[in-house]
Amino acid sequence: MSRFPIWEYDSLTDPKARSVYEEIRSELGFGIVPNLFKSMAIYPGFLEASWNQFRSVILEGSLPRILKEMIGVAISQANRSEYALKVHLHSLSALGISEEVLQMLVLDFANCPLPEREKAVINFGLIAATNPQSLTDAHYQQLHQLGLDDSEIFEIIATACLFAQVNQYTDAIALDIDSL
Amino acid sequence: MISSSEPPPNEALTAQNPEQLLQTTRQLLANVQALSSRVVTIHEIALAINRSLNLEEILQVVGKQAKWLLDFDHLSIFLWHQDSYQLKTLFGSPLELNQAAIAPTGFIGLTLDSGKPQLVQEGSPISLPVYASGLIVPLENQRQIIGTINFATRQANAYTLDDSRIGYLLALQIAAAIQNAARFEELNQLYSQLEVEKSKSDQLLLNILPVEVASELKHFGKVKPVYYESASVLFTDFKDFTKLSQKMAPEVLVAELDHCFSYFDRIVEKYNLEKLKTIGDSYMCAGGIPTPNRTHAVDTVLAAIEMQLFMHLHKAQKIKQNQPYWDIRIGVHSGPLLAGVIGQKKFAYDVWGDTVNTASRMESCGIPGRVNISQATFSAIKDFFQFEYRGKVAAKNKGEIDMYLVTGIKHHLAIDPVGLLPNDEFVELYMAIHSDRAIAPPFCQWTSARNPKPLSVPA
Repeated sequence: MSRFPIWEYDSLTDPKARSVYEEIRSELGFGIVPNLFKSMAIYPGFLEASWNQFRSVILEGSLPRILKEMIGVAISQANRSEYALKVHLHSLSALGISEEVLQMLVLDFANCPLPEREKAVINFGLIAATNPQSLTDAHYQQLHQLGLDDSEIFEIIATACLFAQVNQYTDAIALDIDSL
Repeated sequence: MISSSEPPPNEALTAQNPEQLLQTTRQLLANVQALSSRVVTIHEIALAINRSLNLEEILQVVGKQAKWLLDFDHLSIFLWHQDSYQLKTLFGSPLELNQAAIAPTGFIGLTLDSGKPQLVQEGSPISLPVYASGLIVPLENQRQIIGTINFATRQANAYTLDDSRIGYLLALQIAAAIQNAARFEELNQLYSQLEVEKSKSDQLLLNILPVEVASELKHFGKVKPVYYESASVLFTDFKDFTKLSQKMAPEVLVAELDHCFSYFDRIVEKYNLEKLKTIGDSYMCAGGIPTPNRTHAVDTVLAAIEMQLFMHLHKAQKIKQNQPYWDIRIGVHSGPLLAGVIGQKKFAYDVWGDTVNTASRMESCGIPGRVNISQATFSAIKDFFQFEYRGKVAAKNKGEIDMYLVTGIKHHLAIDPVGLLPNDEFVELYMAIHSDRAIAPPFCQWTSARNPKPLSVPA
């Protein structure tokens, strides 16, 4: 049971929160507002800032969104953050990939048949979120050699940090999983 | 040859090692997943490139995002347009492109000819310079092949049939985006041409109509005649034109008229008058239309004096060259009139009313080489010019009317002894009656007020 109320659109009185909900519903791609954001409506300023961060990191940029979601699955799995894992798996499923296949890939990441570049990116993101101090020049160099530029590496880190933060937040408030 | 780790093809499923079967299933599922994720990525790339209608931007996105689909050390786009081509490198070092590559047996030529993706690997009939493997995919849109997208790597036998399918899906999206960009570019060029033609037609319209009237005609398809309480109409006519024209070759005659009337056009523009028309050797213009002002009579008479001076100098030159010349009669009258455009074809801005008839009489009753004006014009300009009163002169259908010959600007208002050029005092006086006191008068270029500073006239 979530420790904060889950605000539905109709019960919102704050115009800022209402307009953020509308943006999420139209831009996120699932036609719903996830509980993650509904739980933030108690503080519309934070809701707006979080949504803007989510939009710029996940919905914009040049890394494929599917790859960002995979980073999210890997991080949530490592953090054993149930809410985020479910949401990412749902996102990927909405993008056309079955949840079973995704889970299998995450459980046996080393042997998954993704191209070397994708695997390196997911691995980098996972380290950035879970053990950032262990990132070395060699990690950066590897991505450069695989054709990534600084802005793309930044995007991986921004993605990793956002998902780590979401994990902490959703675990801290024991957020209920959306009825998807 | 089948490796020992793979199950024999005909063995019953139950006879296989369940653990191995599970492993194989997982592997197959993972392969499906990998393929699905690449298809989703193509969809993302398609969305990104379809946001732009600029070829460079489209190729930039492809160069950045295609790496999430296929591993490569080189990525380029070959574009074929009519008889020319270009090769744009999007990643890695440029690919050497010689005639052999474009020939029907080359990696580009074969792809263009067959319309099918070509896998370049060990033992294949085509090869790439430098790189061990390649995937050359046709860019096809609406059954037209516009080029190829080329992936290459130093790794041997790097690309599979799945890669080829992925490349083909991507190529379809890129080809459509490139074609859209090309169509957009063509559309822009057409718009530019249209703009040029429109500006030409606008200019033509402005040659025959005042700006305000042309704008009204364009917006409403017609022009409402406007009544002006006071305007000045000027007519000129060459004395003995018909007689002289019989002695001149038509082209010489036309050239001569063109020379004079072109000069008149410049004078009319300088004094902010509106040219109305020429009828044979007669020239007609007016002051105070289409934008009313209080100085129209002064402006029109100043223009008349300049026309008179021009013809005088022209005559002197002709006499010197022993050539025939014309004397000019100029008449001006001021009064109310209607101005507008009538007709649907070959329309023109014109004026109507008794003022026009009287102005015509001022010209026909005028004296060659002189500026003949009516009582009404005289009353409007008497503070600026000096005159010879002619008394009452009989004018056709008008009876006897007062007429004056303008002899020049008043002595104290001119900078020259014969009264052709206004001085600063003239300008001060002129600005005192002008409705817009912030403007510089049209004739100030030869006065000390030539710098169009705001004149120090009382408000």
